[in-house]
Order: sequence, then structure tokens, then C-alpha cells
Amino acid sequence: MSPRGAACYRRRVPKAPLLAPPGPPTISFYWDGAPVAACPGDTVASALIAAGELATSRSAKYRRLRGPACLHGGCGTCLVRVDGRPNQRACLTPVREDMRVEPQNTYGGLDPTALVDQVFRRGIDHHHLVVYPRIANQMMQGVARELAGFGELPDAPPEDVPGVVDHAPEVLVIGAGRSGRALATSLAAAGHPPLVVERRPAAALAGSDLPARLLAGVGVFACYPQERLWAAASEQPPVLHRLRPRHVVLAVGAHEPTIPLANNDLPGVVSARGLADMLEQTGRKLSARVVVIGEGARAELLASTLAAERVPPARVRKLIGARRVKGVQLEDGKILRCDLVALAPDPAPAFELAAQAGAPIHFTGAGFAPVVDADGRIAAGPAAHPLEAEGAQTAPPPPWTLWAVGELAGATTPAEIRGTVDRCAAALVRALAESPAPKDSHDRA
Amino acid sequence: MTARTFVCRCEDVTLTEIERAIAAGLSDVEEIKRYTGLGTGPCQGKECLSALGRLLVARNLIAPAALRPFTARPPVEPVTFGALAAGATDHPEDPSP
Amino acid sequence: MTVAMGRADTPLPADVDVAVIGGGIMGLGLAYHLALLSGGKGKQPLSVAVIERSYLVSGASGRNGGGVRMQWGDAGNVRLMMDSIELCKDLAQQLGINLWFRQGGYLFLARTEAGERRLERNVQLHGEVGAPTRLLTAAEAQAIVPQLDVAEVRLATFNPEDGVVFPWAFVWGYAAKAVERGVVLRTHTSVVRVEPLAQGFALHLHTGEVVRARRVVNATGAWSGALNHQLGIDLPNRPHRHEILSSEPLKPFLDPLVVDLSSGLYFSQSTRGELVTGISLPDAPDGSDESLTLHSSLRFLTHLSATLTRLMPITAAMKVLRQWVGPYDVSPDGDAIVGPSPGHPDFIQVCGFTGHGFMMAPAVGRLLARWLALGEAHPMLARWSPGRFAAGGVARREDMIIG
Repeated sequence: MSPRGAACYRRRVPKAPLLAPPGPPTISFYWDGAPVAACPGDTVASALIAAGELATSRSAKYRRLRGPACLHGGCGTCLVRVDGRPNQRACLTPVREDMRVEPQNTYGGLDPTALVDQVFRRGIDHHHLVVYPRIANQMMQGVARELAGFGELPDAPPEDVPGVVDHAPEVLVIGAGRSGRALATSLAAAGHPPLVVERRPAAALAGSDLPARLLAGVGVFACYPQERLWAAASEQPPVLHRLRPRHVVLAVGAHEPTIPLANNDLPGVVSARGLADMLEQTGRKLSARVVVIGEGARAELLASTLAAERVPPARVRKLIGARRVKGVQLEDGKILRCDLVALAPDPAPAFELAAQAGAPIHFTGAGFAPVVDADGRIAAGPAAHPLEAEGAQTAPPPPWTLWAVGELAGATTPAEIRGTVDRCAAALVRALAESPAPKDSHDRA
Repeated sequence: MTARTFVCRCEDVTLTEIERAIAAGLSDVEEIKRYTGLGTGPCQGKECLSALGRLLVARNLIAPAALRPFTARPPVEPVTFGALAAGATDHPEDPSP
Repeated sequence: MTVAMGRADTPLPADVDVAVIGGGIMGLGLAYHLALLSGGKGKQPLSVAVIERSYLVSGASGRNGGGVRMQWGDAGNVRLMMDSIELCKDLAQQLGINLWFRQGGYLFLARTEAGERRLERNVQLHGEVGAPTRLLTAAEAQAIVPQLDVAEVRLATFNPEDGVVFPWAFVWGYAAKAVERGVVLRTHTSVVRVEPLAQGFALHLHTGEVVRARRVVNATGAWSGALNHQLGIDLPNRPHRHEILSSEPLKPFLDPLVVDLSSGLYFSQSTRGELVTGISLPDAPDGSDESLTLHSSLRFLTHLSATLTRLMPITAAMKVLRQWVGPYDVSPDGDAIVGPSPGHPDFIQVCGFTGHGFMMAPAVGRLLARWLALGEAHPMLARWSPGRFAAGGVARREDMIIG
């Protein structure tokens, strides 16, 4: 157990549950040394939020309390220590009986926020902080080093023997969310069942329409065009997957960006979409008061799903609360009391893999996305770095075709997502018929 | 508690810090990333990059058509040294004398 | 907040005494020291312009691992790095910016008999020159880094004065102070043509502007060949891609920068807590020339991970946060290429630092400015002369080039 994190929340009082369980809790695990009740299907994050435990870490510079926010495996603040392993995402970790989960970077019960606020009211400029005199500068550097970092070293090296698996699927679908699954179903019906790779563990995937060929708990972490492969990995067990597909469909969805509002980092400020998905996956029901902040049809839909009041960001003066969010103060001074604030920004497409694969990237107004044609096809060229020296060797044309569906292809509503899936599936089936797979292209896995 | 508006929670980059960087003449996404630290934490920009882009466009500092993200460096998902080590079978352990 | 990171719209004078092409640490360090030296009482200060084609820290100065060491295999390099480390001690106060210079030492590990001999030779040499390097047994090395598996380690050396820095801040600091003292810094601007004049050169920029300079400094490192070719200057330095990565941030656990001589693996922990690590990567199996490209590779990740987890097993449970590439500017004999160019004495090279220019830059910037402004010739300048290759091959004397 981390000695620094151990005493962190000992002083806590029982908190009102924020999410009602779907049935009697049958699992118990330890959060910072104290038992927490959970249900099958819970992640560490859903169980902690349900129990009203919203803070899981302190931030690097301002030492503010932070907790699960995107609920989607995208952000960096729900990282907790699980059974001696640092920096595990609470929102992607299924609960297990007796697992020991600890906060990180919290330094016991110390609450330095007030001190930091007093000394650094106008913010911390770390480039010019205590530069003079030299002796003070050296002391500052020592303190900064202790405060930075996140988790402590793992307790022990992993015992699992690492493995490597090679795959050469005809079609690789990255992501088993709504669009990835629908596409896999269409392709399977046409006689081309794809290999679907999904970063979330199988336990976190609700629904009965799971693809037949599914690698769950395996995150595709890069496209390496020069090496003509895509790489994916799982952490436990540690396995590296090298993927050499003929066709690749990116069904990776979108990130939930932050909305720049005062105190938008308070524990209890979460993604509306992440919260709605979490409720669907765990079967839990909201027993908390929620305010949704967002604009447009999508935000309206999420607010109605969460049975919450919605306010547009322009009307918000600041979020209030100290150790957790307590309400939303509007520009007119009115305060909306709540237990959770759910942000509903315009989603930002998860463009990163497409960019690595050489896709042209443009700004959509909400975020960055690959340029796609009507079928979702991406014309990916050789990916050259802008600073490469003249005469640099560029990559040969990629050995795969590249496609995007769902939010990455610009869809936002379920009907639009379905449309991108149908058009992509039809075009892909045509492409597969035009150039059938060579006989030896079955998975080597 | 002092009210602070965060653009990048991983590296504690506030809107004020971005505004100071812009006031000092920075307008390029790559420059702002390096000077403020935005996008260099555990989420590698998933939460903040598009917010920065919107901010630069809203303030007419860059035309939307010219705006590009910072380099999407691998890995986009966390990957352990342990899992990666398994892929090194085709190389000798000691390459140099 | 004082920031002078250069701007794309800084007005450039039509004539300058010295034009520096390349706003990396070499170019800006030199410009800073020129500004310090040339503005003395009663003296007409040199006018200096620095032209950078992208943003500051976009090149190798922004892509290196930030190691600073005096453990070299050659007395000249040891002395140079002793100067550089001495300068680093109060450079943050000189430049008015945090450099996060931390002297946690460098720990070199030898796993072969040849490596053992190199370390023994180094310690003797360092003792003669005055560098506090000491020999350690494997057990003593493990006492410094308890997570190491030292079963294969035969011998180690440690120098407590060596350390790590946050590289970007050096560049920003030199830039800010140089600009404060009158240096003109223009970013996001390419030099497309260098035209020799009767006196000096005309630099034609991509914007259509022309800057005439009495002397021009080529501080473009791995990109220097293209400029040199325009003037018919043929030098043997070549770019070589080097990959590096950083891990997720962890609480401080590692004080020194550790180097495994056998594999070329090096790793240190930054102030932010990330493990920063790279390795000598064997040539690609298909023999393709990757020297000029900046793409990251899985081959690097897997090769590094196998070596790292074997030497420090606890890292198997740690995660990679991001990987990137930077170019080494490799000189065939491992020595830098600094000074007047053959055939063009007013076109001055500051190139060929072979992946170790950043750590040398504080000393190099100063000695070079003293030569340009005062005519003082540091002993290393004779050794670094760009003319040395014309006379035929030069034996490599430095064998402590890592990565």
C-alpha cells in the first residue's frame, strides 16, 4: 500500500449514494483501506461515484482534488493504484472482490489547496517560479520534483510472461462501440466477419450484439505505416498484437473535450455522455441531482436521458464547491444545487490513429477529423513529418484501405451513425468482391 | 477556493496561462503545447487539444482551414514496457560492441 | 511573464554583422554570448540576427533526452563538459528561467570485458583531468538504483556532477536574453538561398526578404547539408534518426541517468516524473536507409522494452506515454564540425555534434562567441576544424557516444 495515499480519506464521513444499484451489491473492494460495496458490471469508477467518493487524486501544480471525469478511458484524472499497480484507469477497471484501490498523489489528509490559492492567486508560471536566488531555486526544484509525478512505483514486477500475437485479418475494425458493432454485423452478414479490437474489457461491454471475432481489453495504440502494421496491446496479461489487415475501419468514436468554465475540474464534474453510457452499462440509476451544461440537440438529448436540467455554457459564471462540486452559479447569480455536473460538449473525433496512418486532418469546428468521402473512405497518403529533411524517404503506399464510420466520420445522431455504417459496409463489400483475399490471408493468430 | 478555468487538467494548464502565452506572441498549437505543457500529460491531449483549437479560432488567431493538431504521437492508448518487450524476438539483445 | 520565443513578424534588418541560421540551442547560445560580449563600453555592438524556419525547440534541441555529463572517453571532451556543467550551475539565474538542472549523476554499466576496460580507462583519465568519476562494483551500482538487476553487470562508474535538464527552457532562456540584448530573432522563416557576395552573403528568405550578412553561421545541425551544398561546401556530417520515449509520470525513484554500455540503453527520470529513455537501434532488417525520416517505430519500442525490462524488471509494469524522433547530426570521427568552411571562411559551421550537442552547447556558445567577437581560439576549435576532412580520414578518438 502506498504510505502516502494511505491516510488520505480516513476522516471521511459516509456519503449519500449518488447512483442506486440495480440489485443488492455482492462485491466488496477496498478504497483507501475502507470497504466499498459494488455490483457485478461496475467499474471502479462507477462504484466510487455511486458511493459518493468523487476524488481520486490531486493535480500536479495547483494540488486540486480531481476524480473520474470522462468515464470513457480518455482523460487522465481517474488514475488509481490497483493491487500495487499504479496509474490504472478507474473507469476501465472492472471491480473484483477484495481488490485494493488507492488514491494517488494525495499526500495523506493534507489539503494544500488553500495555501496554493493564497500564494499563487494569479496562477503558477512554472518557468519563472523562484528562479532567484540559486539556493532558493534549488530548494524549489526539490519540492517540485516531490510534488510532480503521479503514482508510486509498482510493488513488484508483473509475474505474467509477455506474449506476442500476429494477425492478418481481411478486415480490421477498431472499436466495438455502436458503430463498430453495427458494421461488424453487416460485414458478417455479407460473409466477411471482421476482426474487431476493443480497448475496453469484455466485462465492460453491455449488449447481445458482440462481434464473433472480438479482441476485448486490447487497445490499438498506433499505426506504423513504415512498418506496414497496426499495433495493439493488453496490460494483463501483457500481450502485444501486431495487425496486418487488408482493410481497416476506424470506429473509434470521439473524445469528450473539456468546456472552459471556472472550476471545471471539481470532483463530480463528469462527461454527460460518459455518465449516460455508464448507467446503461452498469444498470445503475441516478439518485443524484445532475445539471447538464451544453448546447444543441445532442446536449438536449443527454439532459433528457439523465432527467437533468440543462444550461448553456454561456449562462454559467462558475461551478461551486470545494472538495466536490455542489452547484452551478449562473451569470444572473442564481445557483443550481447539484451533486454532479455533466458536461455535454460537441464531441471531438478521435482522429489520432487516422493521423498516424497518413490521413489528411482538418478542423471541424468542434475538433479534428480525417477527411472522408461519402462512403467513409480515407485517402491516406504517405505520412511525412513537416520537419523531415529534404530527400527523406517517404513510406510506400499503405497496404490497406482505410475507412471511418460513426463519430469519426462526422456523424452525431444514431440515425447519422447508422448511415455511415451502411454506406461504409456496402462500399467495403464491393471492394472485397473486387479484390478477393489471397488464400493464405487467414489469421495467423 | 480560487476559481480557476482549466483547459488541460492533466498538466494543470489554465485559460489564464494560455492567454498569457498568446499575449506573448505564440499562436502555433505546437508552440503553445511546448510552452504551457498542454497535452503532454496522461491523456496526451484527448481532453484539451480541441478546446485549444476552438479557442484559437474563436479569437481569430488562426483560420480554421489552417489549423492543424499537434503530432499524434504513439501510443494513443497506454501500453506497458512488459507487453512491448514480447515483440523484440527478432532482434539480438546486444546490438553494439 | 517575460517570453521572447521569437515571432514570425519580427522585422529583420537589411544588413547585419552576423546572421545565424537555425534557432536551436547552438545558434541561440552563440547569439546570447555574442550579445553579452560585443556590447562593452565604447564598442560598437555586433548586430546579430537569428533565423529559425519553424518554432523554437522544433528541431533536435527540442527532441533530446536532456542528459549532461562529463564522463567522456577523451580529455578534450571531458574538459569541455566540465566547463558546460559549471556554466549550468547558475545558468537558470543568468537566463531568468527554470532549467530544472538536477545533478543526480550518470551511472554507466559495463556488461562485457571491453566495456569494463573502457570504464577503467575513463576513471583514470577523468582523475587526471579532475573529474570526480569513481569505479563501482555491481553491488554499489545497485545501492544507487535498487531496482536494477545487476546479475550481468561487471563494473560501473558514477560521476555525481553529471545530471539532467529540461532542454526546452535553455532554448527559450537564451532566446529571451539574446533578444533583450538586441539580437533579432525571426521564427517560422526559411532561408531558401544563400548567395555569396564580395563581402559576406545575401540570405534569400521564403518570404521574399533578403538579409545581407558579413558573416553567416550555419547552426542547422542535421539540416545543414542542404545549405552547404548551395555553396559547394562538401562536409561529411550526415543526419541519423534517433528515437526516444517518455513513460507515464511516477513519483521520484531514480536519481542518476543510467547508461548500459553494451546496448546503448539510457534512461533517466525527469522532474515531472517521466522515465525518458532511448537506445542504439540496430539497422532495419531490410537495410533501408531511415536516416532522414522522423517517423516513430514499433521496432524501437519493442527493442528498448526488452532491454529495459531485463535490466530493470519493475519497468515491465510501467507504461509508455509517448514516443518521438529527433535527428542526430553525425560526424564520421565523432568530433563536431565548427569553424570557417573550406572555400568560404565567412560561412561558419556549428554542426556535427553527433547527438551530444545539447549538453556541450553552454560551453560551445561561449567559446565560439569569444572567437568571433574577440579572436580568442579555444583549443577545441583546431580539433573541430571543418578543413580537417580534406586531408583524408581522421581517426575516431571518442568512444563514449551513446544512443
